[in-house]
This record gives sequence, C-alpha cells and structure tokens, in this order.
Amino acid sequence: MTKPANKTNSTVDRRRFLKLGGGALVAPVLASWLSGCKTDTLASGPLLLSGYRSHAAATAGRSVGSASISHGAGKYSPKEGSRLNDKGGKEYFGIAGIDTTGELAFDIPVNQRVHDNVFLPHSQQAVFFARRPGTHLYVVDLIEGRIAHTVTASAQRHFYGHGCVSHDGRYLFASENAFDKQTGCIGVYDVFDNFRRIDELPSGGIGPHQIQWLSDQKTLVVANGGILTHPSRGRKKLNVSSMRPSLAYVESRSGHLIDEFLPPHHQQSIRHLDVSDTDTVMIGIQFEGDPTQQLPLAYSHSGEPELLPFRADRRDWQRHKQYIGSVCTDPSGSELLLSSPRGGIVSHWNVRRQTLQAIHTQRDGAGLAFVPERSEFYASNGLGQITAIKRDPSGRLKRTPHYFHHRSWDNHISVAQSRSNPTV
Amino acid sequence: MTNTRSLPFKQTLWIGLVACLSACAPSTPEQRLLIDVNEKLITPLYTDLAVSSRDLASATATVCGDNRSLDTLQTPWRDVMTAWQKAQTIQFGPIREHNLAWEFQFWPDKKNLIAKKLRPLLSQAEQQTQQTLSQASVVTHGLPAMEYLLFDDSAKQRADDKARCALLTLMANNLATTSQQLQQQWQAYQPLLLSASPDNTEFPTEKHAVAVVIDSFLSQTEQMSGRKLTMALGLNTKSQRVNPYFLESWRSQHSKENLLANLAAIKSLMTEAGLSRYLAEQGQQALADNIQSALSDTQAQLTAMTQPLFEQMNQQNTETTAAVQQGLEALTRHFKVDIPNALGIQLGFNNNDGD
Repeated sequence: MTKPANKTNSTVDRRRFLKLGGGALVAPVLASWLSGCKTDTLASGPLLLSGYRSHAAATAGRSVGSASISHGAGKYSPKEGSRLNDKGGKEYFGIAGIDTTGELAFDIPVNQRVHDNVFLPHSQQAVFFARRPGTHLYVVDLIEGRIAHTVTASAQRHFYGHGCVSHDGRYLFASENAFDKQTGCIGVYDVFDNFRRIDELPSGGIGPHQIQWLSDQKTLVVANGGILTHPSRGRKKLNVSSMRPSLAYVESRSGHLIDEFLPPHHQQSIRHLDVSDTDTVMIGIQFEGDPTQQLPLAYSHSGEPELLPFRADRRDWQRHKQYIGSVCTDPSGSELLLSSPRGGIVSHWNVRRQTLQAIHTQRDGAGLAFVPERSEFYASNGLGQITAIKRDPSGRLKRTPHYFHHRSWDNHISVAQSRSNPTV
Repeated sequence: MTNTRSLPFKQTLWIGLVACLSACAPSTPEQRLLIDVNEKLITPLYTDLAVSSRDLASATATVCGDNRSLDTLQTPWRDVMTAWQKAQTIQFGPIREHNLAWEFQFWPDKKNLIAKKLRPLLSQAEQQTQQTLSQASVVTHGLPAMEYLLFDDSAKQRADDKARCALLTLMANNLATTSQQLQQQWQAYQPLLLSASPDNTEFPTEKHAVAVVIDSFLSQTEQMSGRKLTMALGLNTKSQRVNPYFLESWRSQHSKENLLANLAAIKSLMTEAGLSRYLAEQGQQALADNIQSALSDTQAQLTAMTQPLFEQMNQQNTETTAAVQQGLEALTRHFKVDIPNALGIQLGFNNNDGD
C-alpha cells in the first residue's frame, strides 16, 4: 500500500492549492474544528448543510427562496439527475446550506442522491458524499455557492455516503465499497491537489459507513456495518445471515487495524457514530435480525475491552424500530441524540450515565447536528423541517422548526461556517 | 417515558382549536377531511375500544366472581378484538408515541411466544398482581394472551378456572386501563393534527397531515396483504406450504372477522371521514370509486366464506383465500401508489429509504 504524501510538504502544496483555488480560499487552521458531529466555531454565523430530494421543478443556477448567495449550476444534468414522477412533475436531488434563522444560503441540484457531508474550513468548502451505490463527491464552494469539483469514484469502487477530513485540511477520507474484492475500504483524496485519489486504506470490515477522527490526529474510527452489497444488485443486502459488523480503529497513514470491537449480536449493524472531544465514541445500530428481539441500539466506547450499551426500557428501545439513522453528541460528550426515522423520534441520552432522558416525535426525522456557539442541536426531516432543539434552564426541550416547501432533507446534516469576506 | 412536547404549546393549540371549531367552518378541503377523520373515525374508534375493553373487564369480574363458565367471556373478547382491529388502522399519534400496539396485540407470533410465556405464569397465577403483569413480557398483556386462556384447550388442561381467572382479570383490567389512556391521549394529541402550520412540530402543512393519515392506512393494508394471509398461505416461503397456525387469531378462529374489521375501518375512512369526497374534490372520482369497489369486493369475498379461514386452510382449500389476498394487494397499491400520486403527497422519505 502506498502511504499518503508526507504532510511536511504541505506548504508547497498549500501554495499550489491557492493558485488553483484562488486566494479567497485561505482560512486559519482552527484547533477545535471538526469535533463531534462535524461542528465548527468561526466568527460569523454557522451554516447547516444537507442533501435533499425535491418534488418541485429544478432550475439550475437560480437563487432559491431568500438565498443571500447566488450559485452556479455545477454539472447538473436533467437527464441523469431528475426524473418525471407519475404526475409529470419533476423530482430531483439537491444540496443546500441554511443559516440558523432558516434562510437558504445556497441551493444546488445534483445528479446523485447524497448522504452526509463534511466541512473543509481551510478552503471554505464542503464535500457531499453520494450514498451507496453512488459514485460522486460534490465539492461545494460555500462562498460562491457553486460546485467547484465533482469527483468520480475509481473503477470497482463506490461511495457509502460518509467521510471525514484530516485536521490539517489536506486529506479527505471517504468510506467506499471495494466491490471487486467484496470488502470495505477508505479512499484517501488530496484536497490540495484537486481531490486526486492518492491512496486506499482497508476499513477493517465490510460495508464501512460513518468514519471520524480521534484527537491524536492519526487514528480513524470506522463503523463497519458488515453488510455486503454489490452495485449490480442495487441496494440489496447479500449477507445478512453471515454479516460481521465492527467498530474499527485504523491508523490513517498505514491502514493498520489497531483494534476492533464487535457488537454482542452479529446482526447489529454499526452504521453511524460520533466522537466527543475526549475521544468517547458513540455508535448507533441498525438491527438486521429477528425484529422481536430487542437489543440496545446504541453503545459507547472509550478504551474499554468491549462496547458499553446505553440503557433503556425495552419499550423505549422498541420506539426506535431497530433503526438509528443519525448519532450526534455535543463536543463535551455529555449529551447524545439519536434519530430514528422509522420510529419517527429523536431520543436524548445522558452519556455519563448511559441512560435515556427524553424522546420526542420527529416525523421522518434523520439528520442531527450540534452548533456549539448556540448550544443548540438541530434535527432535519423528510417533511422539509429543520428544527432547533434547545434545553431551557428548567431542562425542558424547546423545539423551533423551520419549514422548507417541496423538500425532503436527507439522512444527515452538518455544520459549517460561510464567510462572505474571507481573509486572504 | 414522558413526551417532551411542552404543555403550553398544547394548551395554546387547544384554546385556538376550540375557538375555531365553534366559530369557523373548515377553510380548505384538507382541513375538512382532517376534522372528519378526527371526529368521525379516530375518536369513535378509540371510544369503542375503551368501552368494549371496560365491558370485558367488568364481564371478567362478574364471571370469575360467580364461578360461571369462562367460555361466556369469549363473546366480549371478540368484541374487543373487533374494536382493536378497527383502531389498529390508526398508526400515528399516541399509539405510536407510547408504543402501545403490542399492549393490545402481540402478533405475528412465529415462535408461539404466547404459549411459552404464559405457561410459567399460569403455574403461579395467583401470585401475580397488576404490577407484576405490567412488568412481565408485553406478550402476556394483550388480546392474544387472553385468547390463549379463553380458547386454547392446552391452557384449559394446564390450569383450573381459578388460575385462568386470576390472569384473565389482570389482563382485562390492563387492557381497560390502556385503552382508556389511549382515548385520553388521543384527545390531547388531536389539536396537533388539526393545526398544521410551519411552526407545528409534526405537521408543517395540512397536506403533510393528510399524508400521515394515508400512510397510516397504507401501513395497515400492507400488514393485511403482507402478513395476515401470506404467512399462512406460505407465499413468503419457497415451499409455499400452507400453515393455518400462522393466521392471526387462529385459536379463536377470528381471522376472517379481523380482516373484516380492518376493511370496515378503511370503509369508514372513505365514507364517514370523507376520503372519497376529498378525492372527488381533487378530480379523482374514478380513483375513489375504484377503492370503494376493491373494498366492497374483498368484503363480499370474505363474507361469502362459510367456514373459518383456519378450517379452510386446514383442508388445503386456499382458492378463495388467495382471491382475498389479491384484493388486499390491490387495496395496498391504491394507498401506496394511486392516492399519493393523485394527491401529490409523499409518504415518508428517510423512514422507508434510509441508509
């Protein structure tokens, strides 16, 4: 295996990157960026980023709603990216940025349905990952509100919808299916070289989904769902009876599997995770086994010999319908939110005690994010709502929804900062 | 677990809704549909469920107190099962928020958990209390548990009437309490359904609320066409082996009546609650007629059966059952494809196509 380029060369590469991307794309390195569920704390207001499906006709390159920033068309192709529904209306996939008051900042149609995204603070860009078996990465210039690059997966690879970026902003890591080898891998891309794919690491299992960094800036933690799929079979699960999910710790340069932890049942597919500032990893499960068997759907891990289950009554677990769609903790790792779109709920957990605090209805809810500077969680759903969730002094949750017409927010949201006057 | 929706929001909704209901007519076809769905469908269904459950609890107390034959409880049990099968079509709101469906009916029961969980309980029946029952597996709480005690010969052989009465009393009281709570919880919840707005945490528009109602009935038709007959007909297996023990309520031979109760609730949605009228208002009279025909045809096929489904399948007579199955599948397609397309509504996104 080839190793990622030595990071001491980053100054040269940075100059090259500036030349390619323009001076506006420089930003200071931030010590605490990308903690928890991909949050950042820059000077001006945060931006929520998400993919969506729309029922309204797409008009590429048009500002939408009260958008304050116009955007380019990217490489939108009506032929590939949209389809006529049975009423003759057009459905299409898109990606958008919304400020915390609910105003659209940019809105771009894309060809493939995306899943999660990650903010690149150094370049004020975000990368949106196509969900399986998609083959595109959309790199969005958040200042211009347009697609800067579309990266296509290598041969015999497709994306799984998640990724993360190294702390110096140089390397992008994407969970991928090496379907010729029937195994999972992590594609490594050089952000400073037009997102050139420079390496591939083993993910430590089949079906890698969400991946994150530990604070040592060397270790990747990978949720290997354990489920084998092949693009020739669409999204069909091919090994449910023999699957082997794992939480894997992978050395980011060598791809060495440092350690792995298996859930108690081999059909507890580990799909989503989040990491606190103190490296407590929290994972969400999608159970593929007997639906009447109720096992915990969330675990934490922080150096123990095994995964530690979050505890709740059977009845409260049942409300999650064996399916966790997103996992999000605040950076301090004191509170955890789990979304279950199938249960139509978001549950709130005390991490220290590993116990359930509250459940609230969030119909078709999926995406979760935490905005530190507002001390607020945000939850998105398929109904077009993005809801701010804040705990008042008495501990009661106050929910403030923002509604967007004709829009189903996809599985994940993340938080970024868009600045109209970047410092060069 | 308490729901975290704040009381003041609910109270505000209530005040506004009561004021509006007394003063203003529905301003949109959707609003009229939703009001009728609440007043003429869901509220009566939950009321019937609460009343029949209360009657079963009271009959159980009388029959057990007078040492009369427990077989006399079979009729009030059937009444509650019928009321539940109608109310089962409502799969949103408190029934889901409080995860109550299994409190009424644990099914399908491929591993015969009903018998497995109840046998040990029967041997210590008189030590059980309302509290120990509520803490025991949910399998032992609902109508199938009572069905086992009232209809299954092995239960009758295993325990005397005193032991069965001890459990039946606890189970009937539990059902009565749960159904009364559900009725009250619905009353607290329904203002949300009737006050769609961008600030509503569950229903940003009336169309979303209509979609939730349709989605609920789609879930029901999917369960009817995907489970209630397919497993017994063996359609979900390679061998296609007929197994009448996979029928719902096989012990009481109430499977056909369950399906008829489901269909009756769907008919109420179309007629009393006004979905047919609403479809016609949207220029979809033909679709409304098609759904009504599919309903009537399937009801007629079931009603024409002279034998219980269990007996028919036991005799490998599956022809009429297969015809009913096709009717249920047609009904499912109407709710899954035709109605959403006709109304331009979306029935979920992440919840049926996640990753």
